[in-house]
Amino acid sequence: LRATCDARDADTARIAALRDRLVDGLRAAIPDTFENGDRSAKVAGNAHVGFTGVEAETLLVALDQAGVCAAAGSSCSSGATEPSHVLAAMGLAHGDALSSIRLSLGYASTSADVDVALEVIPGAVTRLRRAGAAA
Amino acid sequence: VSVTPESARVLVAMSGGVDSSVAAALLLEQGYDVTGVTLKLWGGESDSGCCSVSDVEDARRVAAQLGIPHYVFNFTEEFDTAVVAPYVDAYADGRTPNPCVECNRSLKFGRLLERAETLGFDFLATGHHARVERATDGSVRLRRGVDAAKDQSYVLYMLGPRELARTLLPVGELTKAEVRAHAVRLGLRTASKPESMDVCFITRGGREEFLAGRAHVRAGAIVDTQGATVGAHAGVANFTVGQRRGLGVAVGERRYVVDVDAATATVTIGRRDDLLRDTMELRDVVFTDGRVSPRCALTAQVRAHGEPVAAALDGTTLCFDAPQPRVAPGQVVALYDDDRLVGGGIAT
Repeated sequence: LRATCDARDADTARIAALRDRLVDGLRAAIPDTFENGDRSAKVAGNAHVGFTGVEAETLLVALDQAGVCAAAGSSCSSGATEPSHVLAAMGLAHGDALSSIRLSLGYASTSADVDVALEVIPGAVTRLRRAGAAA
Repeated sequence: VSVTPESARVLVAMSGGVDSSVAAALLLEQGYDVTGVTLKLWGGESDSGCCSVSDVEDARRVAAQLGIPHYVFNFTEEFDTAVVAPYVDAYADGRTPNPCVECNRSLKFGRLLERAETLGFDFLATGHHARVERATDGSVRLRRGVDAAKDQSYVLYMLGPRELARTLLPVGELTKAEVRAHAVRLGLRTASKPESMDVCFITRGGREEFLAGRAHVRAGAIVDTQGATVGAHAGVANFTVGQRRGLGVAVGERRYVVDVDAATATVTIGRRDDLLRDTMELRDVVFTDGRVSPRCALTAQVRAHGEPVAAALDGTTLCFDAPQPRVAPGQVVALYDDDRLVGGGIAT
């Protein structure tokens, strides 16, 4: 317990830096990407981003297939994703909430994990947007 | 898209029942790259029929047993808009809707097929009892399932060439007994699961109670074919053309509902002969092959498990070889050439 407490500040700073690099990287690489929540007011491991016009549920499958685990909304007992009432309370439009995903980082997250996410997510978002426009 | 299992990616809609479980297992055995998906369609109180929480759990466990990825898509909003709301509206308007058909049209072969394509899947598969026949010239037709008693081609009448080209229906080649035998052989937990029969979102209280809570119920008169009032009713939503039970009117011989007029809240009853028609009008006619033309020597099926009757289609008019009892407006009429689906429409 003491080791955990001693390391907490350093871990939090390290995780926050990884999160910032992830979110900044996604926003730089993908047009029409928005960030949910104020970084200074939320836990360090929370990367919450939305991609306009992309269905989060579809994106989660594409990311899972590429080895990136993400989540969206809140899970109900069936395991289905429910639109987040928190995002709604934060004033996010319904459509934007349905386009948002949550990438969670923790003490085990590494810089290499962020590299993989930054490599996979832009391609997946672009592919889904192109397929959606063609449909 | 050619149908070769080698590396073809299939998204299987798994309801948690035995048919779609076996469909997924058979495709996997045939060498397809299989992913399972279960649709959460209904967030309401029913949660009993198909697609409830326990059914999602069954589907998830079968997928885990087969070693395939499994996802849950939440289509509750679309289900309410495309299936439940039109269902309520239809009854309130004196029509008899077909919610399973609308679910197939808008959700399974609409939204889900769209997502499957977006995600790069080559095919969408379901556990429906019907067969997709792929001819050497590239044309695709829908045929009745091998098990005549379980055939579900009727609820897939709306599938056109675009959808059929992307569809695999592996259990349509099997009888229900063979499907269950496969499930037992594979040790699937859904092997002896009973079939879902009722409309999945209807609560235990039944249709009338469900509609009473959602539709404006307007009481009115029950009249005979001469227009004389013979009784009263609590709402047109409780009546379907052709219905015999629950009329609440005591007369000598059997009486049937022969017409429902929502505008005046009038239900007309008459003898069976009063229901007979030589022709009927269809709306929203679609053809499996995408070509619109008059069709002769067809058989028409007017309910999910009804006997097909001989007919011909001219424009939107269906002409029966022998008079048939009137089909309730709103019901699907599926048209066949032998056991091949030709298309269909909605009774008016």
